[in-house]
Amino acid sequence: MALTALLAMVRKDLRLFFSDRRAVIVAFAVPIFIGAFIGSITGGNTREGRPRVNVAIADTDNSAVSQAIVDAARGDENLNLTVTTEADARDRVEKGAIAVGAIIPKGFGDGSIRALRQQSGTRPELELLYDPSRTIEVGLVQGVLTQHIMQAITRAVGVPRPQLPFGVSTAAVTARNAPYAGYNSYAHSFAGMGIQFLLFSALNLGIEMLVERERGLWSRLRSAPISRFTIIGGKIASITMISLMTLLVSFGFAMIMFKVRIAGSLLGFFAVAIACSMMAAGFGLLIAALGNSPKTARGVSTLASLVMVMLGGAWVPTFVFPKWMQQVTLVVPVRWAVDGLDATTWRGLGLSSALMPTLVLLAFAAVFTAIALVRFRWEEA
Amino acid sequence: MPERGKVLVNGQALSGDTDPKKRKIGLVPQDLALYEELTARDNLRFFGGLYDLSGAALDAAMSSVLTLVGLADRARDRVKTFSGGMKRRLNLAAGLLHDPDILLLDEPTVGVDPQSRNAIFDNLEELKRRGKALLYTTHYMEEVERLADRIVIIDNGKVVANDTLSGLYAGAAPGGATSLESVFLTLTGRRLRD
Repeated sequence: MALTALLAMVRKDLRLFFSDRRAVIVAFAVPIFIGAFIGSITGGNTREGRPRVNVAIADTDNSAVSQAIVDAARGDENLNLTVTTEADARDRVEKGAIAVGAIIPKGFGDGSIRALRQQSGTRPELELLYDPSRTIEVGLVQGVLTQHIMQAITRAVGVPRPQLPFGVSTAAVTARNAPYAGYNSYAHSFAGMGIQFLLFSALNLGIEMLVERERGLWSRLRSAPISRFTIIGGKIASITMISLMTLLVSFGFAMIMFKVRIAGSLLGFFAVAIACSMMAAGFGLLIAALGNSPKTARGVSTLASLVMVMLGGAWVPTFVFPKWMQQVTLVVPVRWAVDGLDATTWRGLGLSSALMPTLVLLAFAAVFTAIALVRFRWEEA
Repeated sequence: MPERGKVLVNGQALSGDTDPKKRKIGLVPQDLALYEELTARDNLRFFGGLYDLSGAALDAAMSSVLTLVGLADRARDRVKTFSGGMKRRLNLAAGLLHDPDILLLDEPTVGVDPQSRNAIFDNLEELKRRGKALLYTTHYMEEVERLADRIVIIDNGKVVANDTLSGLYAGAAPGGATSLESVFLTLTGRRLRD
């Protein structure tokens, strides 16, 4: 009896969801679009090479030294170099097309050689023009060009190239023995957007319960010989399924189009995804229990969802947050979902990395559902 | 209307949400308690599932009620494409699906065209003939005159009359009343209600 009713409720909710074209687009297409956009602007797939800084260089000196600088910069793996005129370099920086413009002034080669030999007098200056919104890149470009300039000048004057008394090696570190591990910003952006939009799907289903109450469907439901647990169980099952579909479709697209891989534990990935969907189901029920009308509930719950995804690191990774905020956001369920999905995808970590996020998300699901059950208006006013 | 009370079915109180006695009751709410985005069949499939109907039994029940309310040919259409009268008829069908003995009808003809109203009445008379008990609330006196065996008039939450139509006519005035509306106004007064 209870099973037939529960299946009928789940089937009805799935049919309702797929009959609403707008809901389907919001759940499946929008997170893909936004995830792809955010992923592309936050680094892309670093397994395919490190991101480079766009730099324009104008050589007004045209000396052997300046030519050597330009050639070295062109071959540098940190820079994506365009050789142009001074006016064009300035124009590109002003318009934000590039981060940094470097101007090698007339007489730079001779002047810097003279300054090196005499160790005094006027030193020529390399001019760096930069976009004020991209101050991190200008530091990197300054360091890289300083290195190339020193090499070009010392080679020109015939002194031995100064050797650093130490070496630096770099290595991207993710879990060992995970062949697909490596930072892929699409893995993070699709996790973030998948979670955001699964919350929106859950929110809509919660509001749908308020609509059912307004339309008199709730009276019909309550007049049937089914228990409250069946009603709530049916809702939890359908919201969890739709939320999970939202996340998996989003990730599936990222795997096909952007080479996102579950480099860590597959079981861990699904454990986090299912726990996150159950948390969303509890959130949906909470909206249905606390909301007075669909209209007011939509506004408040949309705001709550956005705050949760923002603080949870779904838009930008939490490592860019101030330290205190990184600690505070541990009370936000989305934070655990994002961390769990990051761990099992690009970080390539094992099942143990998914354990805590899964347990915390299940705890949030239980708390949300418990509050919803206590506050739920079972009878009509 | 009273907001609290006890529901007795055949003299026995309902004991909880899952009491099987609830199967004897069919509810037709005043609101159009339907999912507009779903087809008529999908609506009935859902409501049937709540009463443990599935498979061939559910299919047979759906065909039966859709035929009764004259919507068999529109079964696969979405409810949002229906007229107000068709929705009212489907609302009635959803309450009948599990073949209840008692049907609670809360103003089931509000806002429908005369043809649909007449069709709904034909359906209700057919249900009476099949032995169903209909508990019908309405403000339309002509509906009561056509359908009711026993009439209860409630004013401000209090029962002011409980009799057959002929009993009400006879008791209303020394010479007898000519319409239920005059009986109603005699009993409840002509003061406008809030």
